[in-house]
Amino acid sequence: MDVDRKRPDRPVVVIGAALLAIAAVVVWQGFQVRASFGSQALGPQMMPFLVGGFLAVLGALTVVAGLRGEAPARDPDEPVAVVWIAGGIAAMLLLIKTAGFIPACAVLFAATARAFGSTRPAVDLAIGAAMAIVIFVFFAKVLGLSLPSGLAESWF
Amino acid sequence: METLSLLLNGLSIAIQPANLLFALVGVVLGTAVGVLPGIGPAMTVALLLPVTFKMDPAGSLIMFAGIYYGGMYGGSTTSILLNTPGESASIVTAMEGNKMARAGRGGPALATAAIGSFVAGTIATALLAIFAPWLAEVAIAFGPEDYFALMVVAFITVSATFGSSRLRGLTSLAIGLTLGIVGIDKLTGQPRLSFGVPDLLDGLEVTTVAVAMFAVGEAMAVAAQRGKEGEGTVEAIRGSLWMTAEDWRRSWKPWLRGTAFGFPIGALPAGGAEIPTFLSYAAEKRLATNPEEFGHGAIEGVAGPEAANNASAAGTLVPLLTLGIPTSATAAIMLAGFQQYNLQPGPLLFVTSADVVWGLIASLFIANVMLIVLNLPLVGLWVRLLSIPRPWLYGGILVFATVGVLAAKASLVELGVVLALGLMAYGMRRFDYPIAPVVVGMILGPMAETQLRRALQISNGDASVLVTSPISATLLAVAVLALLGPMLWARLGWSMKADED
Amino acid sequence: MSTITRREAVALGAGLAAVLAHPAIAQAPTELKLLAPAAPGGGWDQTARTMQSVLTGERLVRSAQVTNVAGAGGTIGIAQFVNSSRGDPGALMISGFVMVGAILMNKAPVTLDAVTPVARLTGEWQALVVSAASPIKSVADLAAAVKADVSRVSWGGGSAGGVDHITAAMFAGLAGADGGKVNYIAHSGGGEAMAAILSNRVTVGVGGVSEFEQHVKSRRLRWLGITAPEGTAGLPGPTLTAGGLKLELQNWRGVFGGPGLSDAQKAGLGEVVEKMAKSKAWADQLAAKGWQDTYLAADAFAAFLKEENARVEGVLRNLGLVRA
Repeated sequence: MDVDRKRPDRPVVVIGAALLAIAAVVVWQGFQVRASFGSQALGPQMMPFLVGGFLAVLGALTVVAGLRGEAPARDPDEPVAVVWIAGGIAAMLLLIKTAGFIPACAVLFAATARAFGSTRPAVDLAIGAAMAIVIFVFFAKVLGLSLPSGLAESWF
Repeated sequence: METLSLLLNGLSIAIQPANLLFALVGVVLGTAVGVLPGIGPAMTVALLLPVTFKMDPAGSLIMFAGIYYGGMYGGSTTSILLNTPGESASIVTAMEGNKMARAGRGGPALATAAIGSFVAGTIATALLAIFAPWLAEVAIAFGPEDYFALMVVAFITVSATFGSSRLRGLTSLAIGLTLGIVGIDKLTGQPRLSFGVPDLLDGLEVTTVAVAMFAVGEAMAVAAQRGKEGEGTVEAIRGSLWMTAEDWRRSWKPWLRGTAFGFPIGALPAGGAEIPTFLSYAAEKRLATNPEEFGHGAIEGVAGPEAANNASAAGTLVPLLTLGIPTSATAAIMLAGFQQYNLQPGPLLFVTSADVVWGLIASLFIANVMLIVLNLPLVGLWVRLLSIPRPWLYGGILVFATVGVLAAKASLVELGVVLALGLMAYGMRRFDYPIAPVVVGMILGPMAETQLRRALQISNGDASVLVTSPISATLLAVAVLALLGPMLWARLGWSMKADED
Repeated sequence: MSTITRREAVALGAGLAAVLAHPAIAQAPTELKLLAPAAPGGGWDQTARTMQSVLTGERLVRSAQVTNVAGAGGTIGIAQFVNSSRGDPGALMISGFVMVGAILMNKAPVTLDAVTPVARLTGEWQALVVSAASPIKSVADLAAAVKADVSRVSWGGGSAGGVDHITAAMFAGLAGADGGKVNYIAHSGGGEAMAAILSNRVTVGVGGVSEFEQHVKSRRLRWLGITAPEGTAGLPGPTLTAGGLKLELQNWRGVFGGPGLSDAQKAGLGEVVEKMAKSKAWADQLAAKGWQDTYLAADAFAAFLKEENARVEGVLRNLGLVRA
């Protein structure tokens, strides 16, 4: 047999390894679950064991596929943009309970706009803050729903 | 005939000018709140319920019906335009509808959703009026083993939509099943995959996962491809704003099929709206003359599931009105609404308050008409949203998406989940893993598990219940057919081809 | 204009009280923050919003704001309440039977010991029902079946470890079987459980009295018994006690103040809540919602809680849902 041997695709091997790791965690968590009252024909452990096993098989197959170089073609991309968006959400996470909901939303808005090529952060921040104020007032004052709030919202 | 005269009597109440006004106000309010991020129809109704208290029962029920339909339609509008589904029932709509919107076909997508909802809602309401008492009896005969068989059918048919590679499709499904395990086990109260984090005990919110996988993952993937020719551009309008003759031709059958899936499954006490939307999507893809268009904005993939979603909502009224059984969050809120007027839905409601019941059914018709009258002219306006410059459009989508998550559950853990799953979804897109199976696995996995274990618990561990119930035996046979049919077909086709060589 | 004068009069009165204060005199708050440790729409949220409308409608306070903190049976809400409301004389949290169980099962770090009981407000009795077609005719029949083989009797009700489950386990225990082995089929939400009960798929159904009333009237279900004490007025069916098995349990809801309140602050909160609970507007709201008025003032409520907690913990421990 003349197999078309390609070079191993390292990222795919890593994905396979990650799946195996997740499988291990799921199965380990399955062992942590203890059955409780009554007689359960199939206990709460069934699903973690089944899914963990399934993931392990898929992870192993993915590793094999990666080693054989069987992976979809990928366009090169700009990870910087992804970092901007992820950073925006992370910043929101940090800011929301301290500085407040409105500044947190403004930062997320501006970071995302930056990821999409905007070069005017001040304008973006202002638009994001305006949007957040409208949302906050509507949710908190009109609908009576609570959003997490911080320093900025104490003025409302 | 008695049914008809009662219904006509109800309609005559509903079309009084004051009541028409209530219907209009309800639809406007419902749509306005329903488009907000993270607020599905159930929360819309819950928040607006106090508004209706001030009125007489007839007027407030009519407004209530308007709010309900408006909330549902508002939810699909944001799903289609911004890819931020506010409830699990509109996830399928978001999948195909947002692809259409980004290709400049947002107008037809919104229109087919609105008209499909109208068609499905009208047919389903008519079925409700005629068959409700009879259907309710059939529906409660459905036991856990029968539900399990239904889930098996759903899993097998939906797996047809899992994309190009079987390995990657199944991997996505397995990830979804894993996410579905997180939280307290419903049957035994034991925490699973929660790692001692209290915020995870209730499990992951489906909408949180959907927003992270769709809106956030998509935004990251599009941003990363920025600068390349033609990648991720958003066009507000290309071609007709309205549905073309071609769109109508492709939409009407999916509307009817979606209704056929949605109404009966919605009427089952544990049926829900997710399974019929999945089944409708799978059926449309299989029946389509151009299945390769699915995943890139096929109008059938919006028309069918959206009709199924609406028909199932009418279906949930069957057990609610005839048995007093609320089978969805929205129905539970509606029950609370009924009780405000000292009306107890249940077997006696049709006898003791026939005029109110038929008034409600009539107002559902009216609200449906009102919805379409109000919303079709607004389609053009909604679609303009997409002509916002891309940095601000996506900035707005991300703010909208995260606010939606926080409105549903004001927890920072939830926001952390959005970040983690958003990054994962970006990676999955990059390596060509399909996204839909994640959501399918996460929704269907726990349902199937619960029903299977419940069936075995009731039978004291006797597995034969899975095949001795006629309903489940039939459904399992359908599942086997759906699984083996295409294989046999393929083998047959393959062998014929081999003969030709 | 008269309303303003009245408000001013109240404020003046409060001010005077503060000036004359010695610790025993109540300091009634004028602005309240109500925390519902659940999502909008549920029972705790409805309690909070009903309180809000009665408190402001009757002008017992100037403003009352509802906040929802959902999750894990209220244990996330109570943790946040304890952090944010220490010593705050205007903060109230809604709670109830469900939270007692959830705290135990989730091993929550913050318990009801950390907050200040203000009042029990409402409650609902539990009921046991069977399908009309069931061979079980009486409490004694059910008790005998449970005693004969506890695993053969399946119970349909709400979530695992919730009030329905605890009712079932207590019944099995009182019937002479091991309550920990009760074959309880948990359902999410009332609808699914009701379908299982109506179709006679489970041996016996357990839930709140109001859930079943319609179905008993339409002769699809039969009462076995209600968990109210003998002689309770206005019950739609017989009590379990009358059937020969003394099981009393109610699914109650009440309100708590923040940690670290002074006696005067505690009395002030209690006074506002009591005025609300005794008002006609509140009674009307309860009637509309089908809730029972089971008002208990702070001290009685605290004693009740202590007993309730011990009882629930015993049952959950036996079910294996609470471990040492």
